[in-house]
Amino acid sequence: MTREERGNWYLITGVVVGLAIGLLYAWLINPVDYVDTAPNTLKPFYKDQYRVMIAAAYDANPDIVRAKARLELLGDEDAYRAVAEQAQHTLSEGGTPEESQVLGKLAAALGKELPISVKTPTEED
Amino acid sequence: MPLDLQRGLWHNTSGMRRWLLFILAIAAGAAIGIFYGWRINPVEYSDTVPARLRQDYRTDYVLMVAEAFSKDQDMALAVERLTFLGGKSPDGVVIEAINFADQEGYRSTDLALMNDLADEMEFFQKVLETPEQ
Repeated sequence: MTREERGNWYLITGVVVGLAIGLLYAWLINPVDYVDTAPNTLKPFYKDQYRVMIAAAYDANPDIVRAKARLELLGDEDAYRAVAEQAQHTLSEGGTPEESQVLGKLAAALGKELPISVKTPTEED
Repeated sequence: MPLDLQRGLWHNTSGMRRWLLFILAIAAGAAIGIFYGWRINPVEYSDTVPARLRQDYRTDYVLMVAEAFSKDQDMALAVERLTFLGGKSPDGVVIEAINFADQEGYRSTDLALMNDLADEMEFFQKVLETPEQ
């Protein structure tokens, strides 16, 4: 195959090679360095500690709106469940009784806030 | 002869041109790749450490410590909780948070809580630094 027949495929090859080099550099060699992160990106271990701190702050200042806003930052699908589960597991996972207690208190407060669904009985029931 | 020379020169120039275009294509591809990897679809971190938290979140964390301290008055526990944020010393973290809160117009009650914590930390530090007689 002559050079003329090969056409400009070498340019596409160059772009592909360059693209691979660029992605390798941007994703592996020198990835974006996050310095201003949010609590929802924390490691699960740190999220647990953050949750304990929210509960301890709520214990001192029972402002449920503030506590809920803080819990939202952790990005849990169900904040009530996350707090309640942590309250149950914290002792077995090396936490203190105080931590378990404040988490339990916060879970109870969040539980009160949950909407209660009441099913009206129908004739079919 | 002159014709051959001309042909050779043409081939040489053409070859060089192709190489130059090839290198330019690689550079363009690399630029696109870096732009994509840094801006459009950067590596997402999901396991970060508290030291990387944004200043407003750090300040709120310090406020939580101050709120808890206002109840339990446990300085050792407050310092332990502040080390969660890493980086600076616990008192440095509190001062930084107070400055930010002041700048951002936090509620006076929240500022007062953080100032109380800072004052107590200073007091404890002085007590610790006083040589025993």
